[in-house]
Amino acid sequence: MIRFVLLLSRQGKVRLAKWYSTFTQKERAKVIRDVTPLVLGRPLKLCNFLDWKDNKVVYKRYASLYFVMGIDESDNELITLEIIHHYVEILDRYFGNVCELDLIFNFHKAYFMLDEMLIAGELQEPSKKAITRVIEAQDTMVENAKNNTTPTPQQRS
Amino acid sequence: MAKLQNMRGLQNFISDIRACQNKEHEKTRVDKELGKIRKKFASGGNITEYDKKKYVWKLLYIFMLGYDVEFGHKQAADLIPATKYAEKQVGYMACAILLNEKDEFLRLIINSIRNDLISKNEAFQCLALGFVAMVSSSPVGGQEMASLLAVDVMNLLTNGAVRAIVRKKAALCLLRLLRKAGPEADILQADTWSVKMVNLLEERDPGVLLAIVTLLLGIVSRSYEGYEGLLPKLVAILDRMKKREVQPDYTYYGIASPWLQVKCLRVLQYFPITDDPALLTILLDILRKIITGTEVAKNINKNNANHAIVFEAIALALALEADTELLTASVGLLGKFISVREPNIKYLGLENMVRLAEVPAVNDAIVRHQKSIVASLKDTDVSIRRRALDLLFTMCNRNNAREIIHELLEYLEIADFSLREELVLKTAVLAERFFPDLRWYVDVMLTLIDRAGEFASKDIWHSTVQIISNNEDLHEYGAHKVYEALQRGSVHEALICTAGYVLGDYGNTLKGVPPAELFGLLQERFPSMPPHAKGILLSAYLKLCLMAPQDAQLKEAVMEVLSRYARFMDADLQQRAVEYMGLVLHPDVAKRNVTSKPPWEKRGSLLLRRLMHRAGGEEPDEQEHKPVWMQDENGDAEAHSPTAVQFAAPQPVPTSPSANGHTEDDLLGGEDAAANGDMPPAPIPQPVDPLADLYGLQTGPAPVQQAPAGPADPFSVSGDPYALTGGQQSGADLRPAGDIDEWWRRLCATSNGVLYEDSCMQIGVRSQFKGPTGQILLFFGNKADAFLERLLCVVPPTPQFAFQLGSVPGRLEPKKQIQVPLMVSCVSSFLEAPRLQISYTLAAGQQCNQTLRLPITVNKFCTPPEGAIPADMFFTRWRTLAGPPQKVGERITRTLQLSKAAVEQLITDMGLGPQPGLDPSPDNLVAAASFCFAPSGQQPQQVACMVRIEIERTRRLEAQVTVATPDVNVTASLKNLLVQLITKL
Repeated sequence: MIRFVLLLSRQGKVRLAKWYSTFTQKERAKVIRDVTPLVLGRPLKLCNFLDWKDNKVVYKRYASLYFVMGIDESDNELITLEIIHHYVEILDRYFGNVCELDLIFNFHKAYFMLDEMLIAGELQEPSKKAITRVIEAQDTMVENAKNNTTPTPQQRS
Repeated sequence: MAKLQNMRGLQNFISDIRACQNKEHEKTRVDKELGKIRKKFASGGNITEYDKKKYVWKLLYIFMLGYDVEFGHKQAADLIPATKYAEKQVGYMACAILLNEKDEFLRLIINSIRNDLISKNEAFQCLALGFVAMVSSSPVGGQEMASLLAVDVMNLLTNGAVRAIVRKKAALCLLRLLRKAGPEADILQADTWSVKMVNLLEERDPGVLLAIVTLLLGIVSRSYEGYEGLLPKLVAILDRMKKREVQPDYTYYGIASPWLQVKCLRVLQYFPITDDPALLTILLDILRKIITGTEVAKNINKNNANHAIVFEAIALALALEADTELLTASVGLLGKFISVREPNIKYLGLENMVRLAEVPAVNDAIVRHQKSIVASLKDTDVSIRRRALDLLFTMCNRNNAREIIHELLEYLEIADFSLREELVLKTAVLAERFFPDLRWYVDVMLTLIDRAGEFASKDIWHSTVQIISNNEDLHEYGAHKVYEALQRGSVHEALICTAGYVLGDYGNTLKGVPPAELFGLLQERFPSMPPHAKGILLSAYLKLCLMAPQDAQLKEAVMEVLSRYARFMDADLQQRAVEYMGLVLHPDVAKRNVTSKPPWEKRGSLLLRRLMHRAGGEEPDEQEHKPVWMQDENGDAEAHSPTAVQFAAPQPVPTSPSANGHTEDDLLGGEDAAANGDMPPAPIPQPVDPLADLYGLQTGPAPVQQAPAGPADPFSVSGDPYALTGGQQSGADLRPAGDIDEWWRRLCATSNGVLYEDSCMQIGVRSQFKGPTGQILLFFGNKADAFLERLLCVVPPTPQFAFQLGSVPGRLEPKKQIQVPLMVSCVSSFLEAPRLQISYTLAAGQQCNQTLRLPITVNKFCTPPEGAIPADMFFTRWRTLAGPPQKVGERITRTLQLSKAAVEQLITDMGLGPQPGLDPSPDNLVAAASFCFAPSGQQPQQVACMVRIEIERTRRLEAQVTVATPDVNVTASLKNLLVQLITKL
């Protein structure tokens, strides 16, 4: 399973962090502190996998952002790499040519989309279209609330 | 962008933060914002929902920047019960990020979560499921939360009326509950649940199906039992994927849901091989198609997804024990991967090849790719190098060992430091396992030791020495090789130690190389060696000297070294030097007693054991290197630490006036102690007189009873039942005339006093300590009217101290007193006070044997600080040492009232500096001091000690002693001492 997801800028700033197994606040800080230099320090053209303690780190750089996932040693590395790509495509689809600034100013959106894609450290939705649909429905619900209309979530019949 | 709701305040805040020039600006801005938010929240009701939401977002952002936003946790949790989706959504998300599952706040919101789960509102259900998956079955909610929610979650999953979007979340949420519940909890019973799973696997929504297969993977990874019936379903899903029967939304770069394929292939690996031949054929056919039919595409993502499936298929083929043909095809494919330039594929090719390398049938096929695997050792990527090393280690066999080990040795010269230790060990293990002949083995090991330097562990050179001395025809060869290495200029400690042993024993087999030359080569390296290596070299010198009895020059040179070390601080080296000097001067005695090592007993490989240890994740520690007397008598100890000198008979050597009565036998102990750094002292020496038997009786059984994990000190209070009661009185009627412990306690806080007294003898002490050293005068007084015979006085060496004991005459005249000086210097922090063993007999046959604690306690090496310490400095330090083992406390209960003045006096007498006025409470007392010790050959070091004694105010019968120092030994010993002294005050 995926243990954590990190989005790091090239300067090592954390843009998003999500934890799927139990880490105390201290441990979280330590993971970030340990993994960041490992990932940022690797020259391009090396493989996207790193041994890290008893886990593996799979990462990929997209423009100025590093997408990092910590997985179990026995997990499939390539499919994790494609989960990262899947996420980037979803972000791209929503923001339209996504860039780091989009993720800085709309960090909550990045979290929402991640939550629709992953749950309990596992991929829950392989369809980009389905995820975008859900996020847009959420936006509508929030928009409605803002306009002070009564919420109209879909009611089950 | 319309769909991005603009929360202007939030956007502005983020812009502000981004505009900050440096961390200080950022902090100021954040603090300002936090202040504002705190005020708003504190103001209570008049805060709009929009604002509340905005503030929580801001808090989240601040949290991501690395600041603490503890006060916001409650605000975030408060949003969860909200009725509006927008607020609920923020609340859930913020809690998922801010809280972790141990957080107390969870308890407060469990009910709201459950309400959302069982509500009819789909959006709310999704939020709640996502959250439960995040923090489920926390210790706060406990098992009840897990089992309570599990039922609701299961209902959502199995209810066909619930929409896909909720059900897939429910499936994965259930997986999370299952994972967290631990193996003993049975949330899902196989007999009932497997029936439901059959239906669930019929699911047509690919998203839900993926979630269900993932859940199944979680279940079978614990136990597949009861779920065997699902196999045909899984194969059918795979078959459908391969025929591309999926909705277009669920293809990924033209591949039918690679995620689902990977999961199915993984689940199948957990089942035993099916006994349905038709099913197995279909499955193997699918695998064959995947492994042989996958083509390399241009698009990297398509390739990755395809290869993810291929690797999973190879793993399954292995698990199914597929035919050699399919496995050979897999090897061929992976071999191709290893030789490509694409690093990910190369890495995974190597990693997966390791698994195949364990199948003997395809070993030959793998060896064909050896060249590209070896080439991967030189890849620029450390991840790849590591995998290549693993693979070479696994694929090595008798046929290719020579070649592979040669490559590994070459690689050792350029390998990263992080890889070296493992590399050295693995190479050594391979050499030991597959060596074609012994000479080759010796060559490999010596090269390893030479090239690896400090990365070669002790075991490596120990086993080299072991092999050389166990095989007679290697003696000359080994000596020759070591000699060559020395001539080439090798300086590594491991090599010098090996050389010391090998040349000492077999140096005479070298034709045309005089021992003097060997001595010269070793002596060049001598000064830079650590003490234990020096010990080995001293033994070698003695033997070299005995090899060439006619070489007066060599003898002189050796004697010069020995005489220098006869006055050396290190007790082991000093003892060796003194004894060897005796032996050099009496070659006839030496010839009788100094012989070569006997061969080692047959036993398992040291190296392999060490490797296993590493695989277990722990470093080998002292546990493994048991003290000498803990091991069985078949020479196990010697194998760990080969002893240079083997004495033929326990016959005493008349010419070795050992400073503390040791005979040569405990060289073994002494050396082992030194080699292991913090090892306990040598076993009780066998005195050079008839008392030996007596000692043997007393000390023989005691150490055997000791727990192996305990401090292996034969004199330790816990280990030796006699130590506290003042020694053993085997058959003698001389008893102490008072309480030995009381005498000792008194001496802990004073410099003069009585250490021991019985009807015939009194021992007094006068001591003076300065920094890490102390001078103690022991007064032995004969109170009787007869001679005290066979007076013996021994301070057993301990690694924490260096002792120098003056000579003690063998008999003491009636009514006479003698003085014996004892110099001590503290080499490291210690837990136990050192011991003094005395024994004497009266003409009438009465005997006395005592093991006394010396009043050399931690406080003796302490000095109070000059002047008062500022309170803030003291308490800052106090707080930095957060808790055990640096800071420990103990409660004392007394029967008599305790006065603060008495404690203060005691503290002062002990040499600690009371700091009046530092502690706000008048009943408490704090003190400070610095403990001083000097590691051999180094500058003295200081350890700051802090003490706090709180006396219970009303009855004054209880007190709490707390000691804080950065050194755990100092903390423990000072605390124990204070507790002892105050209890008896």
